[in-house]
Amino acid sequence: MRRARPYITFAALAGVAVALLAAAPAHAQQAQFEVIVVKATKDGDSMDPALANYAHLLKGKGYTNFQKLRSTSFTLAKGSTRTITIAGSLKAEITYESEVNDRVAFKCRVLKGGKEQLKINYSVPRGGKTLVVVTGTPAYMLIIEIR
Amino acid sequence: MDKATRLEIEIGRYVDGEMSGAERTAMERRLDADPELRRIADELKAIRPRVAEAVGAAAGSIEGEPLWRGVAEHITARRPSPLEAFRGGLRVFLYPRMAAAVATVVILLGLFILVTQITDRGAVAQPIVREIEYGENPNVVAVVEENISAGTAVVWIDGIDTREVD
Repeated sequence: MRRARPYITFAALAGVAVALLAAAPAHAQQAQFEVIVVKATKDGDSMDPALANYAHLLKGKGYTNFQKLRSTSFTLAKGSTRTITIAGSLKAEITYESEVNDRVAFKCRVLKGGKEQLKINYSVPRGGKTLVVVTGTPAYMLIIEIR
Repeated sequence: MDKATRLEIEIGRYVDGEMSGAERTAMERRLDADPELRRIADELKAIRPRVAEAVGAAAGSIEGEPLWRGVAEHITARRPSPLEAFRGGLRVFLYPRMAAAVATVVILLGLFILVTQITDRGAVAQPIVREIEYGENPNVVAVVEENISAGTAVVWIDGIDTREVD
């Protein structure tokens, strides 16, 4: 029986490796975010039509009045950050970290007057939605959707 | 489940040491901010060892011999030993078509379990909020509500004054 020549074996393995790398998802180095800022109060009973798809997520702790303030879509590369103004000096910083097994890891820092209030570390499946609610009168909500 | 019941369960998990680091930190902040909650947690912590002691004493008072006699009276028919049952099951392999059908079902079942586990591990059955780190404001308390199967999470943050920022 003839033995396979070493360089043919090496070429075959290299081909398989290249094919596997090519098959890896191209979006793993970046993630697309959609962020919606919402103002909520407990007086009145009104849902901004633009928020109808998120109604099940928003309702809780007695909030009944929801108004969309602004929304933004952006793509972040690994390690990069986007700052979003929630209201006045209340801001959120979103940093994309990595993607493993179709789950996007990112951080959301909540700041007020430049001082960090807290930092949330997420691992969200693609298509997942998260909601950050700064309670109070009024409350400010941040819907973060991973595309 | 109403809010009070959910809170009781959360306090029970805290007292029993079943919370993750982040959950525990959040609960301790909440207890620090609410003396009534702290009192409930302390009472629960004090009661738990006494309940465990009482249950242990009750279990120890059961006499084994009369219990076994009662069970033995209800055992009448002889059942095949596990080895005999296994040998009986092997007879199916005397018929090749039957053996092939059984093997196909086993392989398909195995593949189904494998795919289900991979899906659960990779995409669904993991927490969405991995950790919460608190900043400079000592009044801030966060409570997490997750719906892992739906891929959604809500973080309720108390302790930030929103009146000044508008």
